[in-house]
Amino acid sequence: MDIATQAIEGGFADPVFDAQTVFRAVMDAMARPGTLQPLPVFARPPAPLSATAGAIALALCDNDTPLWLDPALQAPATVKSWLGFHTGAPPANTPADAHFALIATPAEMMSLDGFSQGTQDYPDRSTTLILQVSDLVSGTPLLLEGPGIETTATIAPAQMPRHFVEQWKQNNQRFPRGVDIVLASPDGVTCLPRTTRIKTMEA
Amino acid sequence: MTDIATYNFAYLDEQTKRMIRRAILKGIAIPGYQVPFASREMPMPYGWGTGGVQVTASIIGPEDVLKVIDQGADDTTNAVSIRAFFKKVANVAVTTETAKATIIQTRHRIPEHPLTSGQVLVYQVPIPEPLRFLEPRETETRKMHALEEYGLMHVKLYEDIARHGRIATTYAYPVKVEGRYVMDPSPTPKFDNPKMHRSPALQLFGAGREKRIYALPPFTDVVSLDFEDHPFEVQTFDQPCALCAAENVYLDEVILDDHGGHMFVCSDTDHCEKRREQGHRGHLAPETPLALEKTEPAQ
Amino acid sequence: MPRVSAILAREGLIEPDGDMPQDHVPGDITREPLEFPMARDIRLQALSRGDEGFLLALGYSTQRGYARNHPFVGEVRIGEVELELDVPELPFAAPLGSVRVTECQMVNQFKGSAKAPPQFTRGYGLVFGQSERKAMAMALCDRALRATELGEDVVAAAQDEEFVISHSDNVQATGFVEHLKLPHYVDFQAELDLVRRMRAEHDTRENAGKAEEKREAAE
Repeated sequence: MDIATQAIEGGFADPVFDAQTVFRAVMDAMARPGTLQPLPVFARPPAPLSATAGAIALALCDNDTPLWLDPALQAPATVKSWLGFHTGAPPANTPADAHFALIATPAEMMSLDGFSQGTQDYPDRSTTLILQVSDLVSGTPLLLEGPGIETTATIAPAQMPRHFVEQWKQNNQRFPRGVDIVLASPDGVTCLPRTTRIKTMEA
Repeated sequence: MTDIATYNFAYLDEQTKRMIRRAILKGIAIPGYQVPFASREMPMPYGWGTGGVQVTASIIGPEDVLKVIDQGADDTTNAVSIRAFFKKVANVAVTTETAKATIIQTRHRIPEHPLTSGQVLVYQVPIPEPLRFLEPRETETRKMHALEEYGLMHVKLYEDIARHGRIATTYAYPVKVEGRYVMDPSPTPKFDNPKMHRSPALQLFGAGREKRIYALPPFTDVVSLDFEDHPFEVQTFDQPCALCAAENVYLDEVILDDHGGHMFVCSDTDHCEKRREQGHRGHLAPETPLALEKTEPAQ
Repeated sequence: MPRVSAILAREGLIEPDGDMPQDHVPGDITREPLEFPMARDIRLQALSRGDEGFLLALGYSTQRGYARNHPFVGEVRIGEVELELDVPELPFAAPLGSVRVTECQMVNQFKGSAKAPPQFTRGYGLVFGQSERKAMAMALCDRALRATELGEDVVAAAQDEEFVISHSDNVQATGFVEHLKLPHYVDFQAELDLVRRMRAEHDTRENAGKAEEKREAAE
């Protein structure tokens, strides 16, 4: 398959209803941090962009949202042209300009404070990070607390960024500024909004 | 179906929905913070629920069941029109039953029936800025929120106590969210404030004319502002509902004759009807039960 | 067609046209929420869509001395402007049609301030359709709203950006005023209850006071 075909194929079959379903899953995940909101496969993006992360990008990104790709996604021309064709999102010049960042290899990603944190006046002007993870059970268990969680929730996402718990603590301390994280796993979507507090469960 | 063909699903174009959806996600991530959004002109006047309608249109899907209330009632003009609007442009099922709805759009009330996990309550908000009547300038109020500088609000409430012996705010009573942002709950009576605290439902607030969206995720701390020696209190009524005998609900005073004769009845019509179906009867209940509007499936 | 103001400009007697910085991307009030203070391009867009009666009254108030700015109409013209669409896939801009607009360049006397030398200044109006009155009113408002930029004291409503722009949209204004006819009985009930309670307490105090007076008079 040539690059042009790869860029065009694999988008939403039914853009209106697929986008609504994907958004609703992200909304419910953001409202209930730590829960897995299942998503069927709606998009078939070129590798290494995952189906879940690709679908989230199609649902939320457009020409108003500068998009930053991590080096793994930057490398193949097909990912850029697929996102460009289906969303029209312009590439962000720097991570700090990005409304959304797509990250295929979170374990190697730059630190969270390199992205836009929003301002004290406009904390909404921050980057939403979409992290591809292979599962939510094989990594370090994280005990979650905060708005949207009745008591506590636990997830153990694989391949999380280095020193994630420490970085997240700093993200919490910047509140109301800070980044929000969307974890895109093969089964669906899970969110960590900036209000979620993490406790490690290691003995 | 010909009606549907003339509009995109749920009326709004997809780019507008995406913009609103992004604002909703930020609102949920920063509870109580008012996210500016590029509100669109809707086929209804500003001030009539354009914010709520845009939020509902951006989240609703074909599987949703929608309930719309104004003043707690399903049969008030604004509620009837908005429900008809979504039946037409989204072809969704509508209901008057709180428990059956997945999305409830409201003006001025929170239903009496406890909301559950998975439900979304969408508020129509006229003035989203809780500090607006103390400081009309957006440039100033934005600074106050940024610096968490809410002294002005406490001064206002304290002046009320000094002058009237009590806090003289009865609706749109300000709340503090998760100990950070002071938020306007929209002009619901303060009676409904405690229902917002740690509600299992997601609460979304849309202000179309003022171009703001804000949110309360489920299980979020929502505390009505007060003072230690003047704790927050909700309205109480001396008598039960005249139709269904409910107590501890919000009542409306209905004038019965030209001489000021009146009765107090539930403002939440669904709650009142449900209770009467179950056989509860107030002292002025009619002999035969009312014909009730039931869930209407999508066509 | 050259503008009248260009002739004054040749003598250096009028300020330049107020170009935005080279890298400025024009805003779009239909796609971005307003933010105060605003850049002039955004402000002009908002005024252009402003209610004619509102702009007229504000412009009139400046003539009557509430932020007087000594206006002369430099030019009023009416014409058709072509609307083009940039399609990235096409090598040319696609014409969509034309729109009739009315433009007014107001020339305002200005004695100078700490920020600017004595010269004529400009107020600008551009409105849809053939409406000289609205174009002139808009130009008066635009000039008044430049007070801060030109180092003038802000003393009147017409100079107050947040006041003017927040209330200029007539679709918003008409909707919010008319929404008062929607039912508000739930909030009214809350207020009614409060006023009844406060009134009862007031009457109790009054009566107690009167009873006290009577007792004192009787003694």
